[in-house]
Amino acid sequence: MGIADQKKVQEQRQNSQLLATLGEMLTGIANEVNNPLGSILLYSELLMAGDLSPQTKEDLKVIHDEARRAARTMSDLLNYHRQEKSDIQQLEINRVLGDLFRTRRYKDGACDITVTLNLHDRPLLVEGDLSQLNRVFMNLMSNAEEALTKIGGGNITVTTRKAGEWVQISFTDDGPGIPQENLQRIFYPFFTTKQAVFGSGLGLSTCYSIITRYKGLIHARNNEEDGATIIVELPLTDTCEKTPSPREAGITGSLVA
Amino acid sequence: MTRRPQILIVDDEAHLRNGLRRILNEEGYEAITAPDGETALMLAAEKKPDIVLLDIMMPGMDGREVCHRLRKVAAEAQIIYLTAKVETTGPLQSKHLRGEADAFIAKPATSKRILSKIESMLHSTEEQPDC
Repeated sequence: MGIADQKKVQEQRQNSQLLATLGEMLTGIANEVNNPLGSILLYSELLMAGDLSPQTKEDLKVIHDEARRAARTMSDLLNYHRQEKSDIQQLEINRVLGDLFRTRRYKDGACDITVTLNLHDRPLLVEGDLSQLNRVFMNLMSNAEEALTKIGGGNITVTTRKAGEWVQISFTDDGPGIPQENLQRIFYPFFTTKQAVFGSGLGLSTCYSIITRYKGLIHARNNEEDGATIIVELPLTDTCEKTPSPREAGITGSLVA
Repeated sequence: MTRRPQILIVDDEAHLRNGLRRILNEEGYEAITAPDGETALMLAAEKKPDIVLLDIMMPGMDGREVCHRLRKVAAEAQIIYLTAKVETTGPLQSKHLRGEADAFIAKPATSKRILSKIESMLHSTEEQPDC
């Protein structure tokens, strides 16, 4: 492992410790907050059932809806922190991505986002849980799509390559990029630049949590020109060539929202 | 005259307990409350409730211990755990909890969700765990 890799691993380890502490603290808070939230829900429902003016009922509905929103955030938080049972198996990453993109809906349409897959010409074997890795890749795709939607469209390129003993999977978009000061923080729980209705801010930290579980790395950088790239690196488990080589598979078209 | 279904609410959070009691009473149930496990066991032995809504995280005797003892003093009662979602969905916890309660409701819950669960349990003919 080179010096640059060692530095990345060390940084990732420090981040993992910080995130573990944050996770425990936030889970404790979530448990404490759930009881008062339950009371707000029940009492606003009791009041709404009474004989009140339409305006008062509407105001109560705001209180109720806001409590439900907070409850959903708490639920996301608890889901983020809980340890899932993993079904770890050897996976060929090109095939995982190929299958995932085949099932995602793309076709020519109004929304101008073009997605291209550039897959390494040899099988890339890693160990992991298929559904968890799929969740990571879908999250990264959704983030890139949201970045492009803000500017009316653009290109996403998903590339796989072998880098020493690592498999690199990069998601590159030509959107507005990530402000420099946020490059590290985007993987922290609840860090979000999105409006509250779109997400809880746990998507990228969930990716981080999953990838580090498999001794992998995930980091973000801005491109020299437009946009940003998020890179996932997983340890290569084998270089065997038992499975057929996937050809460069370009899936292009426009995203159906 | 038909007896109204009786629901015992066991929760150390007074606001939750009392709010839930009012909602259930307004819906036609006979709701009684207990702030802790000891009181719950005493009331259950005396009243023989149809359903017990039981908080797991309580000081003193926790909900799981209460559940275990309730099976002896009020064997006919169906028990619904009221608990934080993490406890009902974590693989290790749920495996154990499934052998204890008849159903779960994740906190915080709306009255609609609680009423619907109670309704379905009272009308279910099968004794399947609803986890």
